[in-house]
Amino acid sequence: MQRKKRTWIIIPVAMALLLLFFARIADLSFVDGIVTKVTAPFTATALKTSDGAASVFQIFFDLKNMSGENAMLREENQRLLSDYAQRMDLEKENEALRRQVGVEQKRQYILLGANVAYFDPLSFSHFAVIDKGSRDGVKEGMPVIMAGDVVFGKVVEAYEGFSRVMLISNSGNRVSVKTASEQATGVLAGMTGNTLRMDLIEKNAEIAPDELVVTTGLDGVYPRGLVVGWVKEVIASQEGIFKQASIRPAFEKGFTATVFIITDYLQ
Amino acid sequence: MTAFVLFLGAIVAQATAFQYLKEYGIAFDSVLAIAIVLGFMRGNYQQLMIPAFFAGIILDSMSGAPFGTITTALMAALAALSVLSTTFAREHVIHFAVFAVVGSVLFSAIVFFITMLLDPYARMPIIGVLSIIGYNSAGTILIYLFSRWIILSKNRISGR
Repeated sequence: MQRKKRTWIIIPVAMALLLLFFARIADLSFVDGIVTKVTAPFTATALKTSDGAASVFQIFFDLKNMSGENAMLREENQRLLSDYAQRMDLEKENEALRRQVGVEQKRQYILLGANVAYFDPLSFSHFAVIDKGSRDGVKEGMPVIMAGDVVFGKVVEAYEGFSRVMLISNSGNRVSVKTASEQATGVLAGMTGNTLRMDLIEKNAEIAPDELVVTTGLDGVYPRGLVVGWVKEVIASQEGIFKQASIRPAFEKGFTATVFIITDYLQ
Repeated sequence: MTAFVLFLGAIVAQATAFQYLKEYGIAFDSVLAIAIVLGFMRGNYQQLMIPAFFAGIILDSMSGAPFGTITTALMAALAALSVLSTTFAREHVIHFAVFAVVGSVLFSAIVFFITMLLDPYARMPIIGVLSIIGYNSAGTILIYLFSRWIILSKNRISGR
């Protein structure tokens, strides 16, 4: 009896180890395809329902903080109005200069809307699967954004009807970024937890908390000017020529179920 | 069959609804929790090995982690709990807490080890791993208490 029990334990463990080994030497992406095809209808429905429920809960939480937030927003609105007036002047000036030099209008993205089928179920790795694939023109390396030009991630695998996206919060996703003031540049990577880390910032570069961090466009994946987050804390070390900063991500309140793939862009 | 259906429900919840309940970027591993609770309440972890194996494969194909990581971690955690159940046979909350912590630690440690070994870009601070273990253990204990409460209420209603 004891021997039979032991067999029931040992065989599945051995099979799992074999699977791990076999996956290193053979291409098992067809399994991903089958599982996604079977589970996607259920997960997509569950995700949309969760997204709706989360929005309703968010409304209740927002109601609680409404009066304080309202005062803050009024103040910010005043400031933005004056910024807007200045910006309009600059825009006109810029337009006139562009016409003189003969340079094209500002950047343009060609976007393809997609729905998230499911997120990576493991906390350690940050991926999502979306319902658009190679037959929709999606290719590996294409950047994916959320509403408001917020970076979501990049396509790492494009199958026929779906694609796997490596989220910006994944530690393997290296993004070239800068502060909006253009004073500091660096390389961004995700970490476990809701934090992004901006690395390789020159030691004497000026960077302060609450500064907006955007993409530089130098990594060849993400176009220039996409929103990444805000500086949370600057970590300066005594040694070396670089410093780091932790970044409060723009997706802080979570990712959404609707995203946009940038299939092409002009800068 | 019941275990497999519960695992499928947990997989869908883990990849969708629980993503909205993330704290510090950590989502609850509901499949692991269901496996620990079900095995403890039935007093038999061996019977769960096959459905958990297939649940692990589904999770692996849904995850971007190296294929086989979750299946291996799940199998190893259940095997250890099966051995442990010979020592802690009684159904008691404290015993269960030990099971929840051991299961979560083993699962997370194996996932962490395999990911660090096979993924050159992986960066996981120890504090993050500890948070995952704490979150999973606490959630698993809550599910167990909830399940016990349901069973006790059912028994009370039926007069047993």
